[in-house]
Amino acid sequence: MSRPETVGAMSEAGGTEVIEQELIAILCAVLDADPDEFDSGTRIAGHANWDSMGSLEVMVQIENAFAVRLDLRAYHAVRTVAELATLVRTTSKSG
Amino acid sequence: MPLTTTPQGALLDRVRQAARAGRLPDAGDLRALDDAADPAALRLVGRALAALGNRGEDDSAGALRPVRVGLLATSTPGPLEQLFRAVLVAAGMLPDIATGEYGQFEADLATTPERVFDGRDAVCCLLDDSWFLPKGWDGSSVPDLLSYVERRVEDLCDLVRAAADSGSSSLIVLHTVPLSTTVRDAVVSWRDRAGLSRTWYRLNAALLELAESPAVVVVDLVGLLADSAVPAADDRLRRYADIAYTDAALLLLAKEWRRVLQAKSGLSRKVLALDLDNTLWGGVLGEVGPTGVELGGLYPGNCYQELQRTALRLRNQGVILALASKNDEGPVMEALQEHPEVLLRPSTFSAQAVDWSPKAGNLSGMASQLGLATDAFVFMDDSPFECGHVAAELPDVAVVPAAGDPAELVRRLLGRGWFDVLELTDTDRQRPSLYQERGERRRFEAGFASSTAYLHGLEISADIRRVGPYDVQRVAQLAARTNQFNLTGVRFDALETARMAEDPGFLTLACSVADRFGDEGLVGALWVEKREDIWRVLNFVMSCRVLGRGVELAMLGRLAEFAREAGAALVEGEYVRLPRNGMAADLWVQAGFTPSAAEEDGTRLFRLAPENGSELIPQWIRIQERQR
Repeated sequence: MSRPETVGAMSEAGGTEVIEQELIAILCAVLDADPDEFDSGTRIAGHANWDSMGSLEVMVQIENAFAVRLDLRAYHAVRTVAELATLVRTTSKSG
Repeated sequence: MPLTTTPQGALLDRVRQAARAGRLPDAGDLRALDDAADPAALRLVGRALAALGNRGEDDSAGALRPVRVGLLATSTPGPLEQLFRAVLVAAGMLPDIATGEYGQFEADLATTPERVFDGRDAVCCLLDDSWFLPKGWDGSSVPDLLSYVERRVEDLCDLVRAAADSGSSSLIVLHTVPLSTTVRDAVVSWRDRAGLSRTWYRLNAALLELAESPAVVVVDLVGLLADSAVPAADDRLRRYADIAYTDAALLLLAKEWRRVLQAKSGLSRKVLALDLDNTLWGGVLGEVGPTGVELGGLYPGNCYQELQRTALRLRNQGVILALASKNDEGPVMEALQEHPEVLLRPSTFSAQAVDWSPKAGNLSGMASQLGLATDAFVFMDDSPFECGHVAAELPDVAVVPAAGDPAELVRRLLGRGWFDVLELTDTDRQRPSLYQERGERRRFEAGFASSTAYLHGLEISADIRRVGPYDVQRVAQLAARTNQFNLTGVRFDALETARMAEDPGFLTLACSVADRFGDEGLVGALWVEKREDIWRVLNFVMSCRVLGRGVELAMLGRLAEFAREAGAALVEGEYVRLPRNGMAADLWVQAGFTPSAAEEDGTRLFRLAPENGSELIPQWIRIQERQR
């Protein structure tokens, strides 16, 4: 199960949008939500279905989708979709 | 992988929609789920499928076998419930899962059956090493560490034995426990470390001994982890959420538990129906003869023999063997009887269907002959066509694809645990020979056509063209190799074929076929001599791989079109009986040709007016118009 397309796309300009789109898809899948409930600035923890197990689920899905391993502290410090995208982006660069 | 774009994401969407509507995902999606190795996707699926459980009265969910499961854990089970639900639904079960409270493992196990155990088919316990280890061990005394572990093992065994003896009908399902390297490596002396490992092996041996009780099943997670090369733990999840295992490890465990529940809820299979060519031996018997098949000796022959040995082991443990092969019966019996490396002699099969009929019909026939339903069957075949056909016609049959490297045949057959039972009785062991005495070989259905609905779904396209320079070698090879679907046995070589292809007095046709399973390549050839206005088919050969799909009729249909365009009055052909071409005897009649009276020399011709041949091309075959 290779995922070079995604990783490759992230290093391009505008990659953040691609990442955000994928992150929103993951959030919707885990939280059973609609895509229009989220945009870059949405505070993730504000979602009604967000809880500690849900947050771990989202993390696992992100790690799987982007082939990254997130620092838990950094992950928990994230508030918005945009911040999450930045975390994914910087993690995949350094990793 | 991205959820937004992948087939995995699309599958997930369909499963979620179905579950929301209280519908069961369709059979194809369930099979895909079953094959999905990706735990991240499966845990999402498991979440979505939870909706299914809430609608007990739905019809389609009613097609699943309900199972009631209790889930207890010494740590946080994390995604185990979701993974477990996904694999259970994929295997035809509808789980109702009750989980114990965090930190209440002993209490839940010790308290009366009413709480967790009530009416549960099984109570599955997720154990982890921390439960057996002292939290504050300071490193000063390894013997203290070991005696603590031993006491904990005793505690657990006492708890389990008490629960098993409580009279509840629930099965208690445990597993062996891996020891984290972070614990082992903290003991620095090699001697002491070996002592710790030894104690740990005893711990697992003690757990496995619990399986002597009929109320307890223990699966060997440690062994599975060693074989699967997935990390057992993720330190972050361990520290942050007390989740003791990775998703991948939990999925292994869930699949193993699934096998236990399969056996517990009567979903075990009783019959193994096996294909022959390229499943029980390498090569096509009809092409290479009994002495030419690959069996025994070195790779790949040893792979096929190992599969035969495995089938024999299953038979000796009560699995009924059945033979489902598209072949002529004579050579098959000869090979099974005479080949020195064959382990499965004819008498080991309790039912046999060796003919050219569709395998789905033959499996149903064998099922009724054995007095069993088709849901007792596992069918193993190397042909994606046959596997797909059986899966479409008989969704109850468990299909094991045998395509790919033969080295993996045994693992593929056993990996799903289709034949697992909780306990083997003497009656089980005698079953194959009991059925043997009842069974007699017979034909179940005439003709070798598959159902048209299935064929329409195959997207078969045929490229039927005049033999060109690039086809000549391949056509000659086909002529040389094809023994079964070979109408006259005349083998035109490359030189003759090339000459005929150039000569306007002849027509040579080649046929390539592709379907949604892939490209079969050049599979058929026709050699025709134009004798005035009568076109005489000198020979017609076709690879047996594609039989049952109407390709032979499509070729004759195209031939009739060519003849009509050229103004020919008749197309005629003959059938010459040869040792192995019995299966093609009825071709001309099936294609609507009229038999003539026998000629003086004993041959019999079959004739067709070309304008009557246009209907021959089956509707499910798309003819490519590349080259006329």
